[in-house]
Amino acid sequence: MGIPNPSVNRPVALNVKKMTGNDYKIEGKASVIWRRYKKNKLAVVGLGVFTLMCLLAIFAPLLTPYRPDVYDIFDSYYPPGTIPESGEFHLMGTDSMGGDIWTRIVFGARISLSVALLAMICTVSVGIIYGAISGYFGGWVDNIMMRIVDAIQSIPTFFLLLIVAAIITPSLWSTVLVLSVFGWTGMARIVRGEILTLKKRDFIEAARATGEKKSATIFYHVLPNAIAPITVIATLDIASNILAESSLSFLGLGIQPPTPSWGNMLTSAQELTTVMDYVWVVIFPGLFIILTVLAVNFIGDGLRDALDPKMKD
Amino acid sequence: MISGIMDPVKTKETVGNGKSEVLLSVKDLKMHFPIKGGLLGRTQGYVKAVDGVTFDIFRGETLGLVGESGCGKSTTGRALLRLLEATSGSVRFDGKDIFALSENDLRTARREMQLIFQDPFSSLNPRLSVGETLDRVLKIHGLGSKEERENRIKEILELVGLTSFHMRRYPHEFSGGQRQRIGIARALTLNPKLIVLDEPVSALDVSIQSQVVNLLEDLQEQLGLTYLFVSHGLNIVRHISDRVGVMYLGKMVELADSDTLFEEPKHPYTQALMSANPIANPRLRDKPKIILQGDVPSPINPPSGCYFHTRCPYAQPKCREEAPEFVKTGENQYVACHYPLS
Amino acid sequence: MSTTTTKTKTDTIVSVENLKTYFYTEDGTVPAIDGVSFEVKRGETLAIVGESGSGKSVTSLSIMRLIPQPPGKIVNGDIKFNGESLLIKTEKEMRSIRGNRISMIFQEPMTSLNPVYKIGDQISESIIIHQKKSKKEALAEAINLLNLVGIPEPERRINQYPHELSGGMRQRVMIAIALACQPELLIADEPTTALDVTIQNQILQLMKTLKQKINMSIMLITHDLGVVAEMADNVVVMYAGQVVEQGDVYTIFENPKHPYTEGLLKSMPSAEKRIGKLYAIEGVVPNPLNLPSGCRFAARCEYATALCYDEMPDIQKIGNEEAVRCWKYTHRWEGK
Repeated sequence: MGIPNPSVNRPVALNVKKMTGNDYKIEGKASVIWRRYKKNKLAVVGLGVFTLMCLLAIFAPLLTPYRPDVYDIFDSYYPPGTIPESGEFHLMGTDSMGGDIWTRIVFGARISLSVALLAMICTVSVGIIYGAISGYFGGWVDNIMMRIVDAIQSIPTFFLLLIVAAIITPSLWSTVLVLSVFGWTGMARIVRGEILTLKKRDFIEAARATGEKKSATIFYHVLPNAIAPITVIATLDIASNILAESSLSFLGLGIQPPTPSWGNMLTSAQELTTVMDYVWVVIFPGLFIILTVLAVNFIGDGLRDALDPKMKD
Repeated sequence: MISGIMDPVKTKETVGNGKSEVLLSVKDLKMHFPIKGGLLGRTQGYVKAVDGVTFDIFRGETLGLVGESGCGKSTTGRALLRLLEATSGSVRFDGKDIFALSENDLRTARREMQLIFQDPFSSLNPRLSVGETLDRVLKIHGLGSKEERENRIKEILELVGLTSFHMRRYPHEFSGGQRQRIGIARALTLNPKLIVLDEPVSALDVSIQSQVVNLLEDLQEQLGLTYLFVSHGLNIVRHISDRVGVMYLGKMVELADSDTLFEEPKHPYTQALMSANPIANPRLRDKPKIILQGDVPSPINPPSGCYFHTRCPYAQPKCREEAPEFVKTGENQYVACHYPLS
Repeated sequence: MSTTTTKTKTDTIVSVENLKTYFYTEDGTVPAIDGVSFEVKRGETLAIVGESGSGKSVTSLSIMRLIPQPPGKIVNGDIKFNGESLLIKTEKEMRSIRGNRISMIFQEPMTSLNPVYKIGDQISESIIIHQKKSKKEALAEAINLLNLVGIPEPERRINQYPHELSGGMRQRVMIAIALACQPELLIADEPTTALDVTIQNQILQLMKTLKQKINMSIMLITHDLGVVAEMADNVVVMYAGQVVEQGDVYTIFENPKHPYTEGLLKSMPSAEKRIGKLYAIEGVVPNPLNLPSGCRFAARCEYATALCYDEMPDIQKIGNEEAVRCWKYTHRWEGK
């Protein structure tokens, strides 16, 4: 029991102690986000896997002695391991044309990931701008813009993708284009919805009351508050783009052989015999697709939490 | 450059009995919201949220605005700041016709008239730290260098009872009372003349309410502010206001000095409102009360004549037919009633 | 089973004894109620007063056994209803008590009514369940109840949906539902906070008359001292999960003992006269995750001494009915 001196002893209520100490240090926003992100173990694993995939894509030529577009028809359908006659080692075996599957996977990663990322960038930018305009201005502008979205969404997209892909010569760029044209509506809807709810919040009115311009209100006050759902949708878009590219290429309407993509590597799985007898031909590209999509989804999950300012540290 | 917003620590102007220089003058303000319906979104009627309100606010005073939910008191506050575009009427603020200003002039004018919100949780941008929130306000108007702005923010935070350590904290890290202080700080940053306070303490706990009310009074004294204090809490309004206006269904029914209004209400609605207000004294609980029957009518389809006649205990046939004028009945007392109480 | 159906009568309807309800959250344990004791007598109105986080609502949910578990848990103490412990009752037995012998009305009448059912069905539901009446009888009873709570044209109202009624009308319907089975105890959690003053007054007067008509007890949970002065016979003041003072309404208002009660009353702006500065209790309520070891109000108390910071005072009786948790009223007090 010390000498009573209430004015000194007074415990400081709530968080004030934390706020007034001299040990107070300023932490950058990025480091705060990273600190929160790290708490989600699956998200960290996801990020690791996705980074690995990107590294594979970037350093593809260094990772394999073979070239993706050179075939040796005599070595077709070799299971993983060394071919006794030539002494060549195939980590994941060979495909119907005798191409090395590992080689095609790492080079395919380049294509599949570029298509997914490029298409995502397109859908996100279009979706945000479209949704923001529609949501912020409201009224008949919103009405018309959303009916257009309805119309696009009511089209059975995949069939249309098939038709468009059949009309224009399939290539990397056409695949990106096709995915972008039909992929932005989801983002537009989310952004519009977010803006409609944010618009009703008092701080938006407060911004107007302090003299903020309309456009600045959207970019400074509204959109940053929608960043969490936007980021999550964007990452999920990557995942769905990878899948869509795979599907298109699987059907022969996306990336054309000999250029490898994870999707067109699965084309041979169209025949049941391949799946039954040469399972490694489809299992490895399939595994990479699943891993990448899962990884990206985990990243999305982690980002959603990390970007929420209300999350506890 | 920034000094213009820094220095003036004015004293409350007291002219004669109180304040007499008109700072804001509202004339016949109407705010009708269209009700859209049907497939084509045609207008099917109007919610007459504010239906012809006239009053002045004197420099340095606090004008209280009371009434039940839906009476149009908050809408009035927003319409005179032009946060809502009024249907008709005029607002003159410090010589400027607010409704005639261009978008650009209006933004400049907003430096001088600010708003404080009821809900301290939704009125702050959760993504911005306290410092960023206040800094933004100065940046919008291009005021001061980075250093000057920072000093100004520190000064304001201390003025509202926070410290500069709070600058880098985010809204969710504060309690309701502290958040309301941040909201007040934001409104003060540009050194306004008039502040519209929309139920500023209604969302706060009782023990925090008095802290904020005292802060508001201190600030008014130090900075010579003029307040329009919108609230449904009669006791708080009586405490803080010099004059009080009572609204019912979009119209002002009575406007008078705070004491006069609370002690000798002239309008039957004011009287009923005062009577319904619970008194924190158990010995007075059996005092007879005027209990109004029924609910407030819909503002889409208000009653004929005097809007209050459907619930008024003193209603006469004339009240049903003819709308009463808002007329002066005594010094500083205006009433809209055919048969004002005496 | 037979004990729950026959209504045993005692003078004390509910007694809460050293109740502790804790919430186990990610960040730590929140002692929402930390050793609370009080009684509700037959026919009385007991007001439980406190600010947000004081534990007043958790108290009522504990009595109804409606604490979400997890994260919440009643960790200690007992709640007796007519002498029987509610904590050892099965969920089925509790259901026969809830809405039947103990009813509850909430702050927000819109969200407590189910928007997809007609008013009449919502009122008759509990009559059908608890009193085993036919649908037709129950609807007739519902009309009576709507009459009782002062809703005009009850025959038409029973076929309406909640959104067709105003806030005040909805709260009347809530009261009608709560009264359907003539409960012995009505727990009203901030029943008028969402309503305008003129409507609030209607509802308070209604509760007063109904209480006398069907001789029930009311446990009124509120932060509004004006409502307390209007309604209560006895008052329990809560702060940070504890009872800091209890007594009859006149003593509490005219001669408050605990500095917190005193501060609350002083900080109220007066309806009768305009005073100078408002009295303000400085500071904020303590963080429930990090409560001080001494008196929980010490940091905001103008009388606090070292003793207050070091040791938590016990709640102790002063006079017959009054109790206070403050060192000022003990022999160990050496302060001003």
